[in-house]
Amino acid sequence: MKTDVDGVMEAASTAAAAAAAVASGGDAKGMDKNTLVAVLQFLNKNNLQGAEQALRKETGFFDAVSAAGSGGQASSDVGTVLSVYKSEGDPDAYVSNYVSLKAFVEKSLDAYKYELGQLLFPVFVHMYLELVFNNHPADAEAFLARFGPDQEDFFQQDVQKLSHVTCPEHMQENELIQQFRSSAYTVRMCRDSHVLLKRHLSEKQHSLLLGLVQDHVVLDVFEGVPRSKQLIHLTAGALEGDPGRQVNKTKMLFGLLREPDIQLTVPVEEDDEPEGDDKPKKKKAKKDALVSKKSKNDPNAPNPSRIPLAELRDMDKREKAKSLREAMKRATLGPDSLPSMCFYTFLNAADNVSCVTLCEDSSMMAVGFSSSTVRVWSLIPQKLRAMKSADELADIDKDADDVLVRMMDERSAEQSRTLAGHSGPVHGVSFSPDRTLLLTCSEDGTIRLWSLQTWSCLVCYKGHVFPVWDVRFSPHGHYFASGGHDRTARLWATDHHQPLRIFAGHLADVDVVEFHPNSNYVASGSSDRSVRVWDVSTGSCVRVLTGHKGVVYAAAFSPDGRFLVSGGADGAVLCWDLASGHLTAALCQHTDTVCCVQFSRDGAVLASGGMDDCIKLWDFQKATEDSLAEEVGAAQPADAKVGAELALASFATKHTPVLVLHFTRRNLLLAAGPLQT
Amino acid sequence: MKVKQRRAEQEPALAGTLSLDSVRVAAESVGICGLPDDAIRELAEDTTYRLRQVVQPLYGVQSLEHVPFRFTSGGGRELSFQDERDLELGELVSAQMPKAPLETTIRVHWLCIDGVQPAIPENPPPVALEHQKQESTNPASRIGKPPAASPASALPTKSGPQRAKTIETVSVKQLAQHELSVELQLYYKEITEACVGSDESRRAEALQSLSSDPGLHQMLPRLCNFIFEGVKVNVVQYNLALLIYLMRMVKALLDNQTLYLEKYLHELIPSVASCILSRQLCARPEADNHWALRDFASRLLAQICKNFNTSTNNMQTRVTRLFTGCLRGERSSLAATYGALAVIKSFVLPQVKPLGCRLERLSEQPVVSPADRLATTHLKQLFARGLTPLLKQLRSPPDVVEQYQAEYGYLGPMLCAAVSKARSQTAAPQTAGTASLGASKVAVGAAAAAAASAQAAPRLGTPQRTIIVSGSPAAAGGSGRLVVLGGPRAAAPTQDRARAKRGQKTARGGGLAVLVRDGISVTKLKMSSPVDTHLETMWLLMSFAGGRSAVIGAAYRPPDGRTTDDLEALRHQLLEAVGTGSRLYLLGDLNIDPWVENLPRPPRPWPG
Repeated sequence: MKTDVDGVMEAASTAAAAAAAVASGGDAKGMDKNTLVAVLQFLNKNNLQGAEQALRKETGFFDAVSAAGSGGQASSDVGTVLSVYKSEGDPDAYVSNYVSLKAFVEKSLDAYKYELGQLLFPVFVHMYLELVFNNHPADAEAFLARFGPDQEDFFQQDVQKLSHVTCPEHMQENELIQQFRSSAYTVRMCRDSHVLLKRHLSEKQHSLLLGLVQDHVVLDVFEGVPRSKQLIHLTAGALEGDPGRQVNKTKMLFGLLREPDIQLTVPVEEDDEPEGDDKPKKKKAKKDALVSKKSKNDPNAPNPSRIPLAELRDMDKREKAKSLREAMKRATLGPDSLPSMCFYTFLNAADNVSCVTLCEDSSMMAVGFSSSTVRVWSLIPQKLRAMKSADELADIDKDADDVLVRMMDERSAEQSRTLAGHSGPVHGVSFSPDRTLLLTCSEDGTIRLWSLQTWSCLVCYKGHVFPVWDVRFSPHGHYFASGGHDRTARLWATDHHQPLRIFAGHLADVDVVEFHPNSNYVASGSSDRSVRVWDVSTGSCVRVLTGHKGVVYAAAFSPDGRFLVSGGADGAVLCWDLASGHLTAALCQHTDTVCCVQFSRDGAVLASGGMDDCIKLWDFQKATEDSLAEEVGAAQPADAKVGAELALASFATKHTPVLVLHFTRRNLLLAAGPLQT
Repeated sequence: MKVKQRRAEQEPALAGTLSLDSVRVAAESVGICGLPDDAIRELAEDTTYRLRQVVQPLYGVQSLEHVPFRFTSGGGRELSFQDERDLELGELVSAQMPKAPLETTIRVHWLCIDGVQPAIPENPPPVALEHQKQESTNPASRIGKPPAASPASALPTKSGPQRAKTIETVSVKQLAQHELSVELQLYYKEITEACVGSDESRRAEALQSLSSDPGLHQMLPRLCNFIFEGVKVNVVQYNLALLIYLMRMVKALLDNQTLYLEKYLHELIPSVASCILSRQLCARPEADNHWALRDFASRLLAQICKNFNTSTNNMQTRVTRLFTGCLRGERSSLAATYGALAVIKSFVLPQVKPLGCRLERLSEQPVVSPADRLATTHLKQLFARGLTPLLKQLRSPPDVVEQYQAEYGYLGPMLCAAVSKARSQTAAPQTAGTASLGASKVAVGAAAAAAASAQAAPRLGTPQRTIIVSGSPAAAGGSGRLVVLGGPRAAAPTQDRARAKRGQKTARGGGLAVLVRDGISVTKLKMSSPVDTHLETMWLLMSFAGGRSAVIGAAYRPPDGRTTDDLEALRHQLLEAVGTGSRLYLLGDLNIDPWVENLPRPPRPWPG
């Protein structure tokens, strides 16, 4: 890619290009040269021509710079020379350059138009910043007022933020600008589009544009046909532009871990099913399939020891076996057999409930309140018990079979319990897989680990500097991930008070984190409108998924680990194929923020719910059948499917936003939300 | 410096820029005076930028109260300040605790069962009211749209190509769903049986279900038909009870927020009208109370007209024409005429208030065309003339301006005056005492106290004379003297009324006045006046002919404030009054609700 840019530079023999070449060449002497440039300009500015000539002669290689310097205007002071934003050209040139770029895009053939159109926003931003930097506040304002409204809807928020910056001092600490400067905006285009663009930029009067594109925009050129309008529209929206071609090339081990061998105590309680004879037979067959699938060797599965996981205890094995038995009884879902839904409405809590979660076996529900408390409800007849005191525990016969039951104090049984400890609204809750621990995170910047046996706080993890928006236990326990306002997602282990990994790369708040079923990856959704997938073992970012037009608030991995689904403030539910990083389906039927997405246990049906008081069901099998058939590693993504044909049903609630969705082991869909009064 | 200032003035003001003056004031407030303008401009720019950074929709952070800045000027300075009142700690401590918020609870229901959403109150109605309305007012809206309008029909029953074919062949005629599920059929049977059956509790349940259950949409044609047929049969058979039951069904359906009845009005209106106008509704017209049915049905009809009258169906006009026709008809029975009148009454009266509002708005305009003014005057006269006799009949005697105002708005005071005038004309031969007796009831309010006053009179041995009035002394009329307790409340009744109108509970114009008949000498007793209570009292020593005397205490306590303090003050005064040695009568309105306040009932007359 760098060579492409060099090619352009050779073609264009303008002063600016030469200046850029000089500036970028010779790293060792770079600092020295910059100082000399500053001195030269200072001399030039103060009309000390004799000294200037002498210096020029002595150094020899500054002709190009002087051309640029004299052509530019004298407003820059010594410090600005060191900046990326050179002062050059009169303010009007920006307007004319932008207008000509726009006209060029509009006049291009339809095939290339949309790819080239992606360039408009970064050019707009950097032109505005240059104007501001070079002290043309009035021109900058006019520029913003004229072209700001032209930008895509999802960029309007950024344009608004940009409009706050009106003088160079502001640029120092504005986070948006830092993002723009620290990470180059990427635009993907096919070779033909690129040639067209090169031709346009090499025209004489577009020198300014050329410099700008070279400095601030990464052109990611690929061979082949240009991307379609629909695809471009679906993947646009992120603050950093398109993900580069190389970013999503890393191989991802999305397969599931091999299940440990569990002696399946074959359910003798067949009497549960009073049906006829043919039913049990069918069940047997399915069970065999279930078992055999697990034991097959998946080439995409990571080595079980890739990250250290805790040994399974007897208790866990029993739990696994129970879960598997339940799974055999689960309802098969599909377009013709939709699930039943049970809705938990919170009354008297309109503005108070901020997050809800259910534990894996659907026996408990934890709710985080903006009043800093957390409440846990038991959803089954068995109530929540506390452990006996130490004295009483000492009296228990430890060899008894029911020692776990005896440990608990029968008198303390309650339907719900409150955990108080945070000093700010609680934004995330998560149960550990064995249901003995609960994690909560809060606006006070801490994550707390609670014991659900003693009902007290065990650990307070301090690491995030700002509010923590989400926390999630690994499906294998022990590890957990969190994300917050400090733009990082972090990986922790319950026994370490410091994070094990810090996943940095998002340009704005991390609003949601989710563990891959094999615990080797963490997905994070952010306010920069992108979703990233991180490798737990290396800490590197393996997938950047762009396409949301608003903050990403929900994410879920499919049960087979191959797909990721995310939902956001734009009301879209996007499905990603992790193998290729391509968008496979865009389900845009929600009219407001999507708060939660969840797969049925067999992965056939996807449910999404949101602030529009509505739960929608989608045919996920149909959404993915193409990408499953397709060769892994196809360069060009197939066209993503769009909503309508995948929608199965929509169920409205009565003024109740849906905050959580959860499929029980038998595929009953549970949902919860506060009644808005 | 001056040049710079001018330049600063010429600079275009950006939207939402902090002004230089604000910065200067802020600087002075922290003790930095004489900042140069340049510095101020720099500061203003920077602060503006910071403010814009801060004033952004931050999530997770919320401020429930706005910051109440107030503005004042004086001494050549203009200041914005925060109004911080001194808080009485004592008040804070003794004040009632605010209600604790209700505990968050969970309620569980089935949102859907095997992909079908059950029609229960917890779920939204299957077909939204808006949708029903649109369907009935604009049937054409459905054509051209895919049939997947309601969530229920979103189920994939047909595959793609088939559906496309049906769209091609569908004509303007709509597809109505005529199938009722077995459950709905059972429900229909149960409901209709319960509604007209003999078990009153079952009927109440059935009506409750009709008025609150969502999802009755599909059954509406059947229910309306049931009512229609039922009325048809029972009107002829003079079955009053059944007619009443059917009308109650209509009422329940009207009350159901999830139903839009317009499509079925052609069945409902004739049924209801029959119950109003029918020559005979019951077997024994002289004994049975068919008037109640006529009244009830006429109210129903008014409600129907109010809900469904549009410019296209002209329903109100048509219904009114029907009933005026009945009024004019020579041969219509008197009972039918009563019904017709009842309907017109329930039409006209609700219109008085909106019309009054219109007139008020008109009169408030600075420039009123002469034609409009004339029209206003005529309208007012018409109202006064036409409505006065009606209102005189309809309303029980105490005419209180506030009540009239509440009910009839702008025209209320006028109507009130007219009605009371009409009353006083008829009541002129009677004594002024009886005319204002009604007023005493209003002022005293508490029934117990009123009863006490009624008892007090005969025991006193003289005709009852002492009356406490409140509000409008003019309404009392007649001869006599008014002893009025001067006080802040009594002094500014208009202000109080205005406050009461705004809905503040704190001040209800509670003045005290005692009307005393000529021939009784009165002295006002001085009491240690209650200082910090809201209680208002007046103690009068009455001397009757024959040397007997009595002390009359009048007390009024506004409903707010602390009961115990007020009662304590009253007790002190009572003790003082007992000291005079005369018989003692205490009358008043203490506004103590025995259910709310866990306190003894208001004191009875003190035993002399």
